[in-house]
Parts: sequence; C-alpha cells; structure tokens
Amino acid sequence: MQGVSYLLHSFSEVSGHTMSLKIVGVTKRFGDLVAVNRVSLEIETGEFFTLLGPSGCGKTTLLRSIAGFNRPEEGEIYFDEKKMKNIPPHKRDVGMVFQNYAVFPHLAVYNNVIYGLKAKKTPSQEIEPRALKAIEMVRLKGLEKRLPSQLSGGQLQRVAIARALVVEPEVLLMDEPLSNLDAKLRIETRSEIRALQQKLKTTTIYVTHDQEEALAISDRIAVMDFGKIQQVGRPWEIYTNPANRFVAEFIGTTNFLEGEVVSENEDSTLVSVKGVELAIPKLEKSKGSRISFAIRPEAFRVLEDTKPSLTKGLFSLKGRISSVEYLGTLTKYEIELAEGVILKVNSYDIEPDRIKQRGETVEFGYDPKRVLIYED
Amino acid sequence: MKKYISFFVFFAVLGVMLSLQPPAAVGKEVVVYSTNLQKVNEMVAEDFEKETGIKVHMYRAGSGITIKKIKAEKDRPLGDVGWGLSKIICENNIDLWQPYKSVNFDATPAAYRDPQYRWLGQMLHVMVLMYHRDLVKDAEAPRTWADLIKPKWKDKVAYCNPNNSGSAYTQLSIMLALWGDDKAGWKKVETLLTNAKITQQSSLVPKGVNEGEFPIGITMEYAAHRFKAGGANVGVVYPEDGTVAYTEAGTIIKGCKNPEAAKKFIDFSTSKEERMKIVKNFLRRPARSDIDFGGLVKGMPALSQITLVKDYDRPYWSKRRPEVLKQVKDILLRVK
Amino acid sequence: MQSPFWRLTALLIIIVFVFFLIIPIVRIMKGSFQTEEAGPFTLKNYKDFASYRSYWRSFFNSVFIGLASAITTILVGVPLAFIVSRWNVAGKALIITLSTLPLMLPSFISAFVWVILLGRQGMITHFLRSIGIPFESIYGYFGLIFVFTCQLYPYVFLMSLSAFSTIDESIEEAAKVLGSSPLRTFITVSFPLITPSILSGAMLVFMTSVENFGVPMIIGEQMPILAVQAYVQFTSEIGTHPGMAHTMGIILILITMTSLVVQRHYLAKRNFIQSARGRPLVKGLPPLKKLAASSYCYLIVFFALIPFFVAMVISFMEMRGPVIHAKFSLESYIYAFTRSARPIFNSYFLATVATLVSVLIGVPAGYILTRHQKTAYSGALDIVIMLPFVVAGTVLGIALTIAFNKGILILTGTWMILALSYTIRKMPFVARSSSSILYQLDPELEEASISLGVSPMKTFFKVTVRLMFGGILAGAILTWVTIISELSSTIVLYPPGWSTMIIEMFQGVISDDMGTASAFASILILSTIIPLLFITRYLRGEKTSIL
Repeated sequence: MQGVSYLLHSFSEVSGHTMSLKIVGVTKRFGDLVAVNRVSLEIETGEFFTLLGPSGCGKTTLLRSIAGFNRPEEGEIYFDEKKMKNIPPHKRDVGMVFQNYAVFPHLAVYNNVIYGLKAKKTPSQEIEPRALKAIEMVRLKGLEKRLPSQLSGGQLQRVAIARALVVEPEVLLMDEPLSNLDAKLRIETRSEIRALQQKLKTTTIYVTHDQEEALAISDRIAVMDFGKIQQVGRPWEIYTNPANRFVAEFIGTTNFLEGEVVSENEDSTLVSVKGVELAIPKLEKSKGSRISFAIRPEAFRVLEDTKPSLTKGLFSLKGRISSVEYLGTLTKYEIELAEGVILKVNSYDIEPDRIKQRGETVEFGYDPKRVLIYED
Repeated sequence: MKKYISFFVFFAVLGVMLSLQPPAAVGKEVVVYSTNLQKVNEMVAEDFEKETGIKVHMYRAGSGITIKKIKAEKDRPLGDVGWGLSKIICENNIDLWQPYKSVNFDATPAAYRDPQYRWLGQMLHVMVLMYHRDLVKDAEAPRTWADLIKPKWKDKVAYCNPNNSGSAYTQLSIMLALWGDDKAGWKKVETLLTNAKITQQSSLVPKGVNEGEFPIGITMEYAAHRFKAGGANVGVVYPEDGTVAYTEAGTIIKGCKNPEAAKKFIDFSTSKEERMKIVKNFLRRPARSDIDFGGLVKGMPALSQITLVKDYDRPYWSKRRPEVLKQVKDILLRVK
Repeated sequence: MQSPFWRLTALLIIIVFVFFLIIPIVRIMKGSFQTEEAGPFTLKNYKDFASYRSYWRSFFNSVFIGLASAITTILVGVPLAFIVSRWNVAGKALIITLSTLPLMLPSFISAFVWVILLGRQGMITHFLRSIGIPFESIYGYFGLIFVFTCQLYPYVFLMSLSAFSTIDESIEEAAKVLGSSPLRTFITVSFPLITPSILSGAMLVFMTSVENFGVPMIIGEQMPILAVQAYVQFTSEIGTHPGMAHTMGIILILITMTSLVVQRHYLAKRNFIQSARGRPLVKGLPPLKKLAASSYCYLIVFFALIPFFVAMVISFMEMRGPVIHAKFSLESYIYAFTRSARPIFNSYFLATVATLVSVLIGVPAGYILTRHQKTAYSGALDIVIMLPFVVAGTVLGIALTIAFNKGILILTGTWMILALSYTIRKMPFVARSSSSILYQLDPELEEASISLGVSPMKTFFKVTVRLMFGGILAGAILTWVTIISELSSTIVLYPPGWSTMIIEMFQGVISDDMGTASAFASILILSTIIPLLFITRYLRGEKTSIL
C-alpha cells in the first residue's frame, strides 16, 4: 500500500488529454468466425471500463479493433467525435499494455520507456524528466539500465505500463496485463493500476477473463460471450443482477436450478426441483409450468449458527452435507437435499467449533427475494 | 540508420567503381571464348599480351555451353574470338562467324581450313586408345578398333556418350567408316555400346584410365599423352586399322566489338612459334603442315606416320550426325 | 495490419521476380512444347519421355536416390542434433561450424575424391580387399546415396538442431512424469514435435540431390539419372533433341514442386507453435559418456569432411600435368595466388553483394509470408519465390543471358548479371529462414511499437529486424556460403575478368588439374571457417533457426 500512495504522489502533476469512446455496431470476422458481433458501447471520459469474458469471446479482438490492429467489417469507432476507421494504429493516440508485456528485449528499461516519446517527436529536453518520472512512478527507479532479460515478470509489467503511460495517451488499452503474474502479485498490481488510473483519469479499457479482477478494478464492466455484449453495468449490478444465465454463471458461483411450479403463496411461489420444494419470488405462473432460477451460495444461512433475529422470513431447508471446503474466511458446503439435488452453500461463520462435518444434517435457509429467475 | 546508409553508400560506390572498369581503348583488348585447358589459355594470353600489348580476357567453358552462350548473345556479341570449337560446331553455326583470311591460312592444310575463311584449324586431335598398364599387359592391349568389341573387353572399355562430345562422335564415325554405315556396321556399334562403360564427359575417360577405374579408354591423343608425360602408368595405341584427326578451330564472332584485336589473336595463335610452344608444353598437335611434330615430343609420331582412315568423308559424317546420334541414343536407351 | 507499405513491398518483389525470373524462364521453357518437325505446340517430347524405358528409369532412379538420401540424412542428422543440443559435448561451436562445411565443398570435388578413395582402384578399396573385405567400389546406388548423405546431412542437422533447442522443456518433462522412458519420450514426443523442421531439412536434401548432376555424372557411371540427362542434353554441343532438354527440365521442376506441395500439405496440419519460454536444459554427462558422445559427433563431422582433407593433401602435392605425385609442393598455391588471384576476390565480392541484396529483399519477403498470411499478395509471393528452388542454374543462366543482352536493361557481360542470378536463386532461402524466425517472434512486440506511434515500416527496421538479427545473420552466412559454391549458373554467365573460385575449381577438375582445384578448394574452405566459427559462437545463446 505504501507503493500506491507513493505512486499517486509522484504523478500528481501529470494530466494528459483524455477522451470518451463510442463503438457503434462493430463486427469483426475471421473467415467464418464472427469474433465480434455488432457490438455497441459508450465509454465515458476518464472511465475505467473492463471487457470481461471467457477466452474466445471476442474481447481481445474488440480491443485490437480500438487500437487499430484490425479493421472491423462493419461499424464505427469514435474517439470523442472523431471517426477512427481510416486512421492507422500508429496515428491513434492510444497506449497499450500487452498480455506478454512486449517489452523490447534489445532495449534497456530507460530506452523502452523513451521509445514512444522519441517516436512522437517530444522535445528532447522533456524526454529525460518524463521518462524518469514514469520509471519512478512504476517503482523501477535504479533499474533504468537493466535489460529486460534481467527483470522479473512483475518488473517487466511495470516497464510496459510506464512505456504506455509516459506518452500520455488519450486512451489506455490493457490486454490481460496481469495474466502472467502470480496470484499475490496480481492482486497487488491490480490495485496499483486502479489507483494510477484514478489519479490520471485516463480513459482506460481493460480486458480480462478474471471476474474477480474485473469486479475489483472497474468503473463499469461489459460481459462478452460469442462476440456479443451480454451485459453492461457497474460491478455490483452485474454481480447481483446478472442479465442472463451466462452472466450469472460466469460471474461468481451460483446454484442453477430448474423445476415445476407447484403452488402460489401470498409473497412467493413454490417450485419443485426433483421433488424438493423451494420458494422463489411470486410469479404469475400456472401450476406445472417450468421455471429456471439461480441462488447464489452466499444467499444461504445455516440456521443454527444464525441469530434468530436474522432468520426471519427465510425459507428453510434441510439436507446432508456431502462436501466441506474450509477456506479460512469462509467455508464452502455442498448440501444434498435429495437424490440429485445438491446446493452450494457458503458459511461465513469462522468459529472453528461450528464448522460442520461431512455427513451431518443441517438446517439452512434463504430469502426468496434473492432468487434470480430466468425464463427460457 | 546512419550506419545502414553509409553501409549502402559504400557498396553502391564500390559497385559503380567495379562496373566502370577503365574502358580499354578499342583494339586494346580482346575477349576469347575458349574450350581449351585453362593453362593453355593463360600461356597464350600472356604471350599475346607481351607481343601485341592487347589484353586478353579468357572465358573458358565446355564447347556446348560456349556455343550456347555465343548464340544467346547473338544480338549483341560480348565475345570476339571463339577458340577451340570443333570444326563441326563451327560449320553447323556458320552464320555466327565473320570471315577473315589469316596470314597463316596458307600454312594450314586444306582439310583443316574453311575455304571461305570463316574458321581456321588450330589443333588436331587424333583419336587413340589408352590403357592402364597394371590392368592390361602391353602385349595384350587392343591394337585396332575391331579389338574393342572382343568379348574379353566387356565392361573394360570406357567411352564417352557421343551425344555429349564432338570427339566421341568422331570416334564413332571412324568405326562406322571402317565397319560400314549399314546393318552389319551398326550391329558392331551396338555391341561396343553394350559392352562399354559409357561416361557423360569425355575428360572422364583418360582420367578414369589413369586412376585404374577403367582398364581401357577411347580418347584423344593429347589427353592420353598428358597422363603419360605426367608419369602415369598408361599406354597409348594409334589404332592400326586407321584413325582420324579431329579439328579444333578458331573463329571471329560476327559483330564483335574488337575485330582487329580478334584478327591479331587468330594470327598469333596459329603462328609457328606459338604452336611449337603449345606442342611442347601441352602436347597439342598443330593444324600446320610445317611443324615436325614427331621430333618435338617423345612417343608422339608425326602425322605422316599415323594410319589415317582412307576416304574418311568429313562432310558426310557432319551431315549424318543428327541421325547417327539419334540412333546411338535409341540404342543406349534400349541397352543401358 | 492493413499497411500499404507491405502490400507495396510484396508487389515490388513479385514484379522483380516476374521480370528477372519468370519471363526469361517462360521464354526458354516454351521449347519443351516444341519439336523441330511439329508445329508451335506439341506434347511429343512428353510422349517420348514416357515411352522410353531409359527415361523412366532415370525418373525412378532420381526419385529413389533423392528419397533414400533424405532418409539417410535424417538417420545421421537427427541423432547428432539431439546430442549437440541436449548434452554438454565438447566444442559445440566447432561441431556446428565444421558440419556446415560439406555444404560448401562443391559436389564434383567430393565425388572425385571419393573415387580416389573408394573407386575400383581406390586407396581404401585396396586396403579393404587386402584385409579380406570383398568391397567392390563406390559406383552405383550405394555410392550416390553415400556421397549425398555425407554432403547434405548438414541441412537436416542444422534444422533439427534449432528445432530441438526451442522445444519447451516442460513438454518433455510432462511425458517423463507420465512414465515415459527417455527413449520413448524422444520417439513419441520430441521427434514428432520437430518433424516439421526435419521435413524441411530432408526436403532440401531431396531437392538438392534430385537436381545435382555433378555427383551422378561421376559416381552414377551409366545409371540413367534425370539431372545428368537434362544437363547433358542442355549443354551438349549439338542437341539432337533440343526440346527434350527443356522437357526434362520441366519434369525435374515437377518432381521438386510435388515434394514442396506435399511438405506444405503436411506442415499445414501440423503447425506446432511452441512457446519458447522453458528452453531445454543442456544435460551434463559423466566424463566417460561425455567422451563417447563427443567422439561420436566428431566422428560424423570429420568423416563427412574426408573429401576436404584429401583435397587439402592433394593441394600440397606435386602435379606433373594431370598426374599427382606423392611429393610436397607449393606449386598449386603459387599458381592459384599469382595467376588467378582475381577469382578469390570475385567470389567474395559477388557473394557479399548478392547476399546483401538477398537479405534486403528476402527479409521483408519472409515478413510478408509470416505476418500477412492468407492475404492474396502473400499467397502470390509464396508461389513466386518457390520457383527459383526448382529452376536449374544452367537454364536460368541461358535465360538471363538472352533476356538482358538487349533492350532497356543490358546486364549480360557485366558482373551484375552474376549478382542478379545469385540473388534470384538464393533470396528464397533468406525469405524462408526469416519467416521461420518470425514464427518465434511475438507479434505483440511490433504492435507495442506501432501503438507508441511508430509507423509499421519504421517498426520493422527498429524492432523486427533488430530482434531477428541473429537469425538473419545465420541465414545470410549460409546463403553466402552456398553462393560461393554456386557453379551451374556461374559457368554460363561469368563475363571476362569475373571468373570465381568455383569456376577455377571446375576448370581444374575438367582439365584434370586436381592441384589447382584442390588449392582453391582449400583456400575457399579455410577462409570461410573463421568467420563461420566466429558467428556460430556469437549466435550461441541467441535463439536462431538457421535456414
């Protein structure tokens, strides 16, 4: 954390021009494959915007279209109000950070950083101070003369970031920049990137397949699959209110269930899933109609561990624990309600003696309002 | 980037310098396309330069490539003299040459010169047999062409494919002239071709005999004697049933750049002094009647002492060549 | 990337090839569809070819010997490459350098030397017979395959060497963890992974041996061989059948083309892109094993160099006319340096110029082939630069002579026509080797540069070329070496004053002057070893794939 504040400090004076982006109906094909399918997005000035999706969903292709490395067959990309279609990549004022860092192996750290400044004909007296500041900003001071082969993965990533930011681009593009780092470094670096972006206010488009990373870092997220945007929203919107089954399954873990309407109560509907009755929010559905719905594992409470005041209004269930996964801050259970009906349940109770064992029967409950319904 | 530029400038300058070789004053150089041995070329070139002050550029290749090159350059000849081309090649490409009556025309026997001055005989190659003395005893060595088709020499005689070599064609024509250009004669030729080791290059024959790879070879006089004179354990036979001297000629290429220098080269290369020097150093028989060859080199008889095929009809064999070669090819395709 | 720069470059290269290669060749190749009797177009030559048994045999002999040599070079080259890349054998740079030398020694010289040693009266033949081994002689199929193996194994060796050193170590480890023995791992994992490289090397062996006429002319004796027949038809003083030379030329082209297509087809399905992150470690061997492995390597390398050593010995012997005498003499060298010093300069100058131009054109061409795959211009370029592989040098020489002897561009009779023909013939090697280096270079590096505002053209020079430098250099050296030993087009094209070392060697051999030929061969090889050794050392550690 000391690093972050240091960063913020050192970059306080820098402020480049930054801009909004508009993507209208962009389609990119590779042969028969439609990599990006009529995607439209608006990204606001200074926003940290993330393209999130599984590999092959078209997020990198879209990013590369923005950078100009490929040319969409349809649609238009605007930087502010300017059409980018006929502007070659080297004339677009973007900074890009690549998945494999793409740090020039034949150039020392300092020379990597000044590469873009020289290309953009920066006055020579500005080059050195700006480069040194950028190097300092990414905590590589003292390593200016090192060659990339002498740096660690994390350090290479910092060189790549410094190199992209030092030219003060209008838009910063990042293509899975953390995927080659180890877990701890990944978390550390992502908060640094976020802090840096917050300070510089450079419009940033960030590509990742890691939903946790996306949730942690973004102002807004676009979830993509099969070349299409599935949902755009703020992180909590996407998590709590996924627009469809894909988003629900891709973001976080969830219990996805399917059943038949059995009966209607005053404020809920009862659905039978392989003989187990579950409550979902009230629906105007006739008896026997099929319903798909999802319940997040964290929506459940193990009743005996919960204060009675909090159990009010919960729909309660009983089942046998079939697996226990202790993770320190939480415990993940799988609870079998009947043959073939297993629910994932998270318990945040960290008292060691209240951790359940496999085979125990527990009573647990959930608020039917937290059930998400998908009509197929 | 600067480095690259200076690098290219350096090579560009170097290139220009090399392509702009000082344009030698016309008549101060001559380009000779030669099929002769490189050392012959070098000696004559040096002597010629000493004598006339004209620089000689020698291009050496086999006669097939040389004539193809002269033809390819027909529209803008780059060579001045064709040297060491066989008489048959000269005659078959007679339009390529510029007539010139050399000062040595009269000293050349009529059989070895063109009455219309388009080519002039330079050297004579007498066709001989050669054998390795470890593998063939002197007493047993074949004495005649006819000996070659005896069963005991099966797979022992090396002979170059006449399709590849003018001298090998001449050797074949000698046999046909002796045996008859008819069914019986061709039957014998077929036996020879079946029994012989056929090489694709004439020079491989004497070389192979020298190394003992072939016991016997059909070759040219100078080639055999070069090995003998060099100390190789080989014997040379002038066939007793008759042989022929194959003519190597010099010509001036039509439309050449240095016709005056070319004329001087033809004159010089056929002069008596230079001829004698070539004989002594390289054992090449001159196409002049006034050189006592036998006296100059040990073991090489004067032309008058060699049995030549009587009534050898040069024009006939020159004309008949395409068909003979086609027949040879058909035989070879059949038997090999 | 839709940069007009690359499209323009591709177009330019294609135009150069159309102008300097395709038009001249088509003009001369028309002959294969003509005979003297029949009209302007006929297939008679092809019918003739099909109807003679001897032609058929020449076809099968050529293909058989080509395939057999490809297999034997794999048997020799791949294990050697494995040992050199994975074990700590002594003097690796030396092994690699020495192994490239056979490519440099003209094949007609090695054939002559092998006859001296293994001919019917050869030195080794006599020795073998004296100890009771009934060795016949080198002539025939065995000898041809033997000589080609000794001479061409470096192609397979060098290509599989670079492939072995880029296999991700973890892939082999994965196999071993799964319980696979080292030998099994080699056969089931490493070998299949490098098959594309082995195949490219074997392919070069096949094409070179099918096209070579110098060796079969001497060692094939009477065996009908396509390349010999084509050469002989083409260079005979009076062709009895001029169209047939071109017909055979075209059939040769078809054989090599077919093999290229087969190879492409195979490679298309097996594009094993490897991350070179975990490069294989070199395994240290215990002293005895190390000695054995090293000896094995040197044995092979030196065995293939026997022709060179013999040539060197001959160059110091006394020559009386064409006959070699077992006495020490410097005559041959004195002759080479005093009378023929110019060819030494010519060889180096021409090879250097042609290599530079080949690199200048070939590297961008390789770039287009790799980075612009599937575009129309890349496809066209791919086909165009395949042609020089398959056109015989003599044919190209005559074609160029005719094409540039008149008109706006007169090159015939200048040194430039030699440089031109070398460039046309060798540029494809540079393009292919650059392309294989580029496959290993992450395109992100170029994109990083472009996104920083450097145009694609400048990026190519500032980043791509810089990163490819080691590989380009290795490719250039090999090109340089093969240009120096180029005979077939040189003999047709060289203008007065521009004879090269190889021409002098050929003249020497043809005139039975082995002394001069050997002296030039020794000068050529010794003067090339030093830069080669230097560069091999320099490149060690850098990731390169030669060829």
